[in-house]
Amino acid sequence: MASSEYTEVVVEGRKVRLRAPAAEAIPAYGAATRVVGTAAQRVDALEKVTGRAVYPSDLRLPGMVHARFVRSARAHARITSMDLSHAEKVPGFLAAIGPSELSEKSLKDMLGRELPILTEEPKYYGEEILAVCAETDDAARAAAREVRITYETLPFSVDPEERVRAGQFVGGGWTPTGPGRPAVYERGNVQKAMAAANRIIERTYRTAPNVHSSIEPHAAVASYEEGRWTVWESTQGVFAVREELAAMLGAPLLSVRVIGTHMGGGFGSKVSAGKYTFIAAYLAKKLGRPVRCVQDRSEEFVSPYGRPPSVVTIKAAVRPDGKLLAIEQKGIHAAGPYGFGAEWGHAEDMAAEMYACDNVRTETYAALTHTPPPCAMRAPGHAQAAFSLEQMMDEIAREIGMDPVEFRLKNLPARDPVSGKPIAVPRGSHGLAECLKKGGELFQWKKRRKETRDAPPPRFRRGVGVAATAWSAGGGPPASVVIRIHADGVAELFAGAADIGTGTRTALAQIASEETGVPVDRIRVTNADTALTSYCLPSYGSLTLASTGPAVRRAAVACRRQLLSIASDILEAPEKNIVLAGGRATRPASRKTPESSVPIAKLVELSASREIVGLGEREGNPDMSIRSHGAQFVAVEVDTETGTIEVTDLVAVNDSGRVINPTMFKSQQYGGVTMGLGMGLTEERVYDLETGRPLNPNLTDYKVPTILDQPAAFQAVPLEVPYDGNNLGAKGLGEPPIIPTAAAVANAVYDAIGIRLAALPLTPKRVIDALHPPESKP
Amino acid sequence: MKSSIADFAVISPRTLAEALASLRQTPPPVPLAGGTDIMVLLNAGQLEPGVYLNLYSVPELRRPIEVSAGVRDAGTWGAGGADPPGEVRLSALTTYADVRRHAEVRRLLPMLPLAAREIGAVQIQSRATWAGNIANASPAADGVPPLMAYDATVELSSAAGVRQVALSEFYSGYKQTARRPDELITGIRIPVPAPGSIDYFRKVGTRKFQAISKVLLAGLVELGGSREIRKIRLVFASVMPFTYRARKTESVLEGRRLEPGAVSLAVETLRTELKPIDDIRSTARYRLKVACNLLEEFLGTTMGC
Repeated sequence: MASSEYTEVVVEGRKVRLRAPAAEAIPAYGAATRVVGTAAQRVDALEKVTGRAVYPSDLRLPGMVHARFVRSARAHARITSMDLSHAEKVPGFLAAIGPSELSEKSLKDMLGRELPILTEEPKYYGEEILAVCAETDDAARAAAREVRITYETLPFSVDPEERVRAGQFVGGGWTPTGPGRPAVYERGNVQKAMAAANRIIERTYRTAPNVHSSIEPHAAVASYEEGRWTVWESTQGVFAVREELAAMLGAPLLSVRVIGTHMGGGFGSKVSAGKYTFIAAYLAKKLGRPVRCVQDRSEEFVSPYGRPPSVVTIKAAVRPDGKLLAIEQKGIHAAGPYGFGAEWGHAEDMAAEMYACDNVRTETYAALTHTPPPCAMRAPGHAQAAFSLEQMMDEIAREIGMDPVEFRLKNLPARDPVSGKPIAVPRGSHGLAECLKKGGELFQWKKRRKETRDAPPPRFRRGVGVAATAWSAGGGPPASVVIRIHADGVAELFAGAADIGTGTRTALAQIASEETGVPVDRIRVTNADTALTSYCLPSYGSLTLASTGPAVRRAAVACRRQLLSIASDILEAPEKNIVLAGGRATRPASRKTPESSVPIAKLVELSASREIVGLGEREGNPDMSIRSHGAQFVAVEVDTETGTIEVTDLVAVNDSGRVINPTMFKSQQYGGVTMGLGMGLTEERVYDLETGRPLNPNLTDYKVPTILDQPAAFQAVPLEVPYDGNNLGAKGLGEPPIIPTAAAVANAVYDAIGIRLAALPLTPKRVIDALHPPESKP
Repeated sequence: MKSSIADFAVISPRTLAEALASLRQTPPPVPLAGGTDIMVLLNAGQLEPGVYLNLYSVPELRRPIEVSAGVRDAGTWGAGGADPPGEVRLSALTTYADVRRHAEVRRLLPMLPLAAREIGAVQIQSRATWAGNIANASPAADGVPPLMAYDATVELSSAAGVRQVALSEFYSGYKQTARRPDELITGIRIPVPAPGSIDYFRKVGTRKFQAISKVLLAGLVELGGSREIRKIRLVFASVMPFTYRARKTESVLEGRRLEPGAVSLAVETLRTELKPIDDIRSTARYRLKVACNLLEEFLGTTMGC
């Protein structure tokens, strides 16, 4: 594959275009693969189910001590006094760090905006004020409780709309605008198009604040010996943590080693070093002992993580024949008090990119609220944006009497409407069109749509809905992988990527096995360790497999060539006649000679190097808009007497190119959809408007769906639309499945009860209030 | 943040007498059964430091479920056979799992296993006790409404003796119960309903399982030969500040024939009788609306029987 992707950088004030390194083309997979595409068992399944896999929060080092935060009990205040005398008397107390000691230290977001690690003027309930450290976790908790703080309470607001009205906002998205100015994107002339159109629909949609709710909370354990830190961190990106931590500590990169082999979920909340990371590392040096800093579940709800709530107003114009003429969108989302993380609430990208529409204008306001700073959460921006855009598409289709599937098909873009680049769709097919068609067929969309439309309204009303998604998920450089095959036939695979629960380690082993012939269970994957593996980006943006996978294949092909060369001499056959599989090199039987084979271990033993080493680097991408597509069809049953919504059927179809492991592919679909159902039906962080306190910082009242809440009929369908933009033919999948779920459910609820529920989550109370508006008798 | 373990002491008595004696201390220790409420509070750092009384060490509190004979009713149970079951007794440490596994209780008191299966996950069901659910006095308790609808009585023991309190008299306000600090719930006695009684149990929550209910109705009705309502029990959870038996609505229905007019009268009565709570889980308006709908559904389906 020729590399044609450019990165623009600035060198001494001069713009330079850097080309991705040229790489030799590797042929696409043939018709049949032996390991890739099979449901191989997870390489770490046994380790995990037996509890031998050590997660950072499980780690106990000799002499380890424990750090805990003291958090603000006000949503906005100035601290007038801090009394540590009682805390210092707690047996086992070791140290306390206050804001003055760390006044120069802060976390930085992707646009360089800062978040102090500790503060004397907390701006959200739960903001970190002090860190205390003690011999045991119990003692650290006790000491934290014994710190006496007095506050001068300051005005606050947790309502993003109120903050925008008060002028307290910055621009959202990726282009910083500074205070008081929204981020604006515009193409065509919306005003003119609206003036000429005779079908215009407008509605405001609201999404709720959500929390990632990873099984493992944010956690770090740090030790400091001989001028070097070792940090075990529950993270999506060990290299990002290393860079950020080294910068905060003012230390060289190589003085920090970050290990993140196993981690219990992140969903976007663990792509950077956290306050807990810095505190653990800082105290480890100060005290000369390993320090553990782990958050409790309740702290997960008040620390700087979560999907910000959004308020999105869309106005759309359409021609009676179904051509989208104009989209105008005003989006507001909460960005916390610092603007830190404001890039993660943006809902403008999807409105601008998803459909062909000549006239689009979006305004995005990131409101400076007294709530925890937001961060990326599975499909940041898109999951919120889909709730508004994909409901609006449903409304427009109904307005002009068109099937919502047909309507979407009619407005698919051939080129990326923002970048103008062609969308990577070989052979004239379009991933989204394929997903919509396949999903519609499996769901029996046309038939069921007619059934629900014609049904009389009994107590339980049924409805069907559809929603779609597109997500940039091509992956790309940097990713370098090393494979070493040893003389006992065991291969080691070194990759920087974190396995955030998606099965990355297994998928990479499958790719290596396909080329080298070393069975998956003879491949040891060492990943996410800055001292042992090469640099790569965090596992975010659905890029892990599409970035590291092709590098693994290159490394494996390099090994394969060496193995074949030796095998060819030993088996006295041309390389092309030798099959590497099942741990052996085999020359199949021919008419003249019987089959003969040699173990791979033997080949390595006989090699001059006594070890076969292959290096693979990720090639650049084609200069195209690379998207993963998906469509979801749902059927709901709404109980008009209790207001409960049951999602009875769901078909999720995703096109992410080649499927490496169908079980894991479907697991991503099941997981994403389930999270989407939580966003759609049950999950909401509730703040007390009087005090700014979160009212449900626990999993009792912040309700994530359980396995029993999944639809009774749930089909997860991988659709392999061929893609040749990298040597695997694979695109990303982690995020797309969550994007359309809430909108598809809301569309189905509309179909069932004829009322548009435009605010998440779709609780029984909202259904009852919609069916029996409050002014009527309850 | 989690409480510090050092702040807590647990005493483990060997006998019931020892346990009851310890409850006379000032302040009395807090009884600890399955721990499914207490451990959550401990983990959240909200548990009061103090002394806790471990009930698991007392064999008398761990007796199996007992089903005893009642008064023979020749018309229903046939002549010459065994005596009909008359009463079920749960002991202080009977768990939800015990009830789910007990075939006779499932048959005689079908609302109990229905409630049990909706409480938490399997781990919780294996630890949590019915007596603990009563004593904890949560307005959202799932186990209490069916017990109350079945006219259960609570056996309260102290060093001074044993007394029986009707469960429907047990609560007087939010977390206010008839249990004195020196008393322990040692048993729960549930009379087996008259043959042909019709029950109703429905929990409306945010998700299907492991959800604290927004509105719950446990109902039991005994109909006479000409469809007159001999006896009816309507017990709501999560609507009022404590598990609530809607006596006013019950009395409007008792003695009346079950017909559409009675249903609408009952719903109208309930609408004025309930004064629902407003909290983070739902609103008073939603609770009232849905409570009335559940009553309508209960009576409506019973009419169709």
